[in-house]
Amino acid sequence: MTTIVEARGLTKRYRGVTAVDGVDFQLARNTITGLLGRNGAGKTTLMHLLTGQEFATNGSITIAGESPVENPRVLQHTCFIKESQRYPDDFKPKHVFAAAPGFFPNWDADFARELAAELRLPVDRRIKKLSRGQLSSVGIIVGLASRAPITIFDEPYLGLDAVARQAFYDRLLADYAAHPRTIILSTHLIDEVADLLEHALVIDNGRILIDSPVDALRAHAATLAGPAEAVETAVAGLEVIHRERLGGFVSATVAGITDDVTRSARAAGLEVGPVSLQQLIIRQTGGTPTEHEEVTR
Amino acid sequence: MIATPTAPEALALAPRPLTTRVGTTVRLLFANPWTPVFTPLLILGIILLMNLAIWGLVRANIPADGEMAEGVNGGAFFLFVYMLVVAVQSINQAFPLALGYGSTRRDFLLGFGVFAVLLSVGYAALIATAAWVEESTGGWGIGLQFFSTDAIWRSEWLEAFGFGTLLMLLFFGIGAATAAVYVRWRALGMYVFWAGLVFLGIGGAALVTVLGAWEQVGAFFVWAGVLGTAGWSLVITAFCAVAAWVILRRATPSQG
Repeated sequence: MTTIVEARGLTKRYRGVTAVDGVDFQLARNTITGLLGRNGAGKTTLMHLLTGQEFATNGSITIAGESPVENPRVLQHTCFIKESQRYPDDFKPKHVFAAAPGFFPNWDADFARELAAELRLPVDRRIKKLSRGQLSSVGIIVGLASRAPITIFDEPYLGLDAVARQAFYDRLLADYAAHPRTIILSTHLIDEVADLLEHALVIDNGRILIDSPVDALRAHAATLAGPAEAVETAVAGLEVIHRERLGGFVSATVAGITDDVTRSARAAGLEVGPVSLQQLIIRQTGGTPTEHEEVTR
Repeated sequence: MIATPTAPEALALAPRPLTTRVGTTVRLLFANPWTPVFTPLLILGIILLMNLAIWGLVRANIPADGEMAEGVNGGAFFLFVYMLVVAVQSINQAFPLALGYGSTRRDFLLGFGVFAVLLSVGYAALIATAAWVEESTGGWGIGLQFFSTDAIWRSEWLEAFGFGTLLMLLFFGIGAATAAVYVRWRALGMYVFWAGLVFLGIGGAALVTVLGAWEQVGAFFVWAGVLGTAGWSLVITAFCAVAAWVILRRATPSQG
């Protein structure tokens, strides 16, 4: 693994608010990382720090070992697509696409055209007059066609319908396979992108909560369901991150599960199911106490 | 999971030449050439044609022997205010976009400087040339003063061109500095900025009055002459440019 992004004790404080709070992490080169967390968790601030648009209060963040702040050596390799991106009032999408090659040496104009057609983006209409989804399409097209070695998408899909979102995920994956690069995807729609992500970085209240390969996350969590007594026996001594009760029936989401536990649970007649990444993250960031019992009627 | 087909090559950290990076900004600012070039030229053309038509009609209906003043009209000078707006919009809207696309603040500002100089020189050359043609043709044959409203425009082409360039740069500078304050400090910055400007203006005028120095102020402008005064405006332009630079170097467009 080659580290491309590294944060050490990274802190960003605005008047009285600590948006990013002493964060340490590393991102591997040419992987897709999901930057996940609730609204206001510090995701956007983190991405602004990564692209040198914000200045760290403390600590450091580096790209290829160098600070990104006013540093063309590393910034020339970045493309940051944000949900709230503003464009000049008089611009049409075609103007954005015409200016893009200057910023991105790897820009693929044919690819951009193809994507515009697929996403049904009217390239000759004023950006101010585009719908929310079409506006998102402009960002997605630039992000993909830029082929920037470090591409960052901050909630890029706002207003896009399911078909367009799927097109984005498919294109992203295919193009990533053909042109490997480091992609950071900040999103709320965790389950939709779960299959895309190789690494998950979950941030909450400015701190990193989970920093793990997605496979490992999934492999170590499972849902055990069955009669209450049998479930309680099986999960004894394990970390139960969520518990649902329906009459005498209990479904427990367990972290740190092992093959032995799975085997004995199955032997006890329990149903052992996978946990979706979204469920896992919601359970860990929802502020729900570990032993919280949810009574489902 | 996706297999990486090739081992990653090291990230090329040699920066692209400064000219390429600055050129990228210039290209972004000219990406829609209608705003900085075609639209103002079109407006200018239409105003000129309308003035020619109206003034031609007026002339045609006046007895040939009647003495007739020349038609003086400053229609061309909307260009200066228009460019101030272009400067404001470029800083306010293109700056955050360029940063998102991996530009540095420095490269953007240098590019904006090139953009401003190119447009200033271009429009000044246009106005100076048009004023010269107007003079040589006796006001397009009908005594219309559309471009050559002041003595400075009727002097040597080079003087008119120099004056136009300096004036245009001043408008770009004021626009850039004002927009920079907005980008950095938003609405609060605007309140403080305008309040400060009004305070300075009134304070300055009061100071001159108290010192009884209005004569000296008037004498300065007489001494400097039109071109000289325009030359002194470079001080303000330079101040605006430095202010825009200093302010935007620490600006964080994300807070918008």
